[in-house]
Amino acid sequence: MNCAEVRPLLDACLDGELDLVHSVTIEQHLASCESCRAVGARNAAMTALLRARVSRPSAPEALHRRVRLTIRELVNADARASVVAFSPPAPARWLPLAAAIAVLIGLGLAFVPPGGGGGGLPAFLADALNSHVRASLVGPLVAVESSDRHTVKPWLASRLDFSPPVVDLASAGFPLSGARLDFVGQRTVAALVYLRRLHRIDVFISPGDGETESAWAARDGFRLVHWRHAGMRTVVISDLAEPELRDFATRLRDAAD
Amino acid sequence: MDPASADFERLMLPHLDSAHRLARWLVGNEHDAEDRVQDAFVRAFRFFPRFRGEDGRAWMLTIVRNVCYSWLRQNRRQIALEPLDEEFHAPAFPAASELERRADAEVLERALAQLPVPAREMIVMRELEGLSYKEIATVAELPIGTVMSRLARARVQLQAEVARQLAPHFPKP
Repeated sequence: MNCAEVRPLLDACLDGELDLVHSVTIEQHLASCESCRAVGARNAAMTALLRARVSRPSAPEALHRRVRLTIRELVNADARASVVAFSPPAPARWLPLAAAIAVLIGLGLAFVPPGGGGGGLPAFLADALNSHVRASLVGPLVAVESSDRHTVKPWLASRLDFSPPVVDLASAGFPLSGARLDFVGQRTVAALVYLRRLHRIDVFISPGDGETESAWAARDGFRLVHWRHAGMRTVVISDLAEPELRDFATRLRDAAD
Repeated sequence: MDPASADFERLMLPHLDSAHRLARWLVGNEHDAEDRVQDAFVRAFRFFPRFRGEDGRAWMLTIVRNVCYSWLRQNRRQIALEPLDEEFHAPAFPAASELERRADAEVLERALAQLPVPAREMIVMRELEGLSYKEIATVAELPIGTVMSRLARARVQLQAEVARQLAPHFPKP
């Protein structure tokens, strides 16, 4: 083999990707050819430098969490879609509905059209549910990631025209994951994100007068609890089971006093 | 959790670090890379029923690469292969001892970032992620012979770029 024939195979040979017969031929050539040997040495040196010096960072912990949560949300969404698909009796009626839901999930859209189309839910709640689902599918779940309310509260206060209460419920098994700003009912609101195992609980807070008892609603496999208290309007949304969500909502409301 | 999604987490989540590094080198910044990785995992989850137990990392990276390429195209980034004339316009390749002394992480990373995407991804997959030619062929959807020649060419381009980084006053072609 001459140099022109050797050069295209030189890298593969050094990478250990060449069959034995060709490798032997190339090595014989290298033993007698100084210029091919120099090219090979330079390539090997570059490979060694790249491996030794260019960093190979792990993905940020937040990205690991975000991806895990998204997968979990997709699993839950699939489970909900199959409940819709298999429980009603008449196939001709449920097929288009199931297909529509599958399309909505596939497109990363929400189940509920914004602004009051939420099948009986008041517009504000439909909006909040919409935001909850959209955040699961297209993110971000949180813009400030912290389990420390002393980090989250000032972050929110500096971006809103009100200061939402941020309470620590970690000891009750509901660690704070972080917060983001969201847009619900024609205004920017605080969205606090708590976790319960792999379930996410979104808490939407905005200023609101009046006092009401906690009221419940359920849609598409999600539960909503909402109330007005201490100058704030609060909407809690999650796919968590009712007893746990009730426990969470009670603690949240009591702690905000 | 049902068995299929448990399998997905077990087989695919271990490749998240690798996916993130490839995305970062392809799209060029952390924020967009994270969104691409997220998108890729959603797609992978949807396509997972079609996964037949082959090389999980190559399967995952194929999706990451496709998502990144779509994004690059949408953002009108140049991803065409550029003609191989770099070595004629570069200063002489530095000797191994000079590389050892002067080509630190910053120089190497800057040089790598300067390469056209198709060359850059070859270096990233082979030198940084340690993929075999066969795995690279799977991820980049190319014949092995093409991988071999693209990688060899990418190495020449990278050396030329490193030489340029080390001799900043040498005129650009």
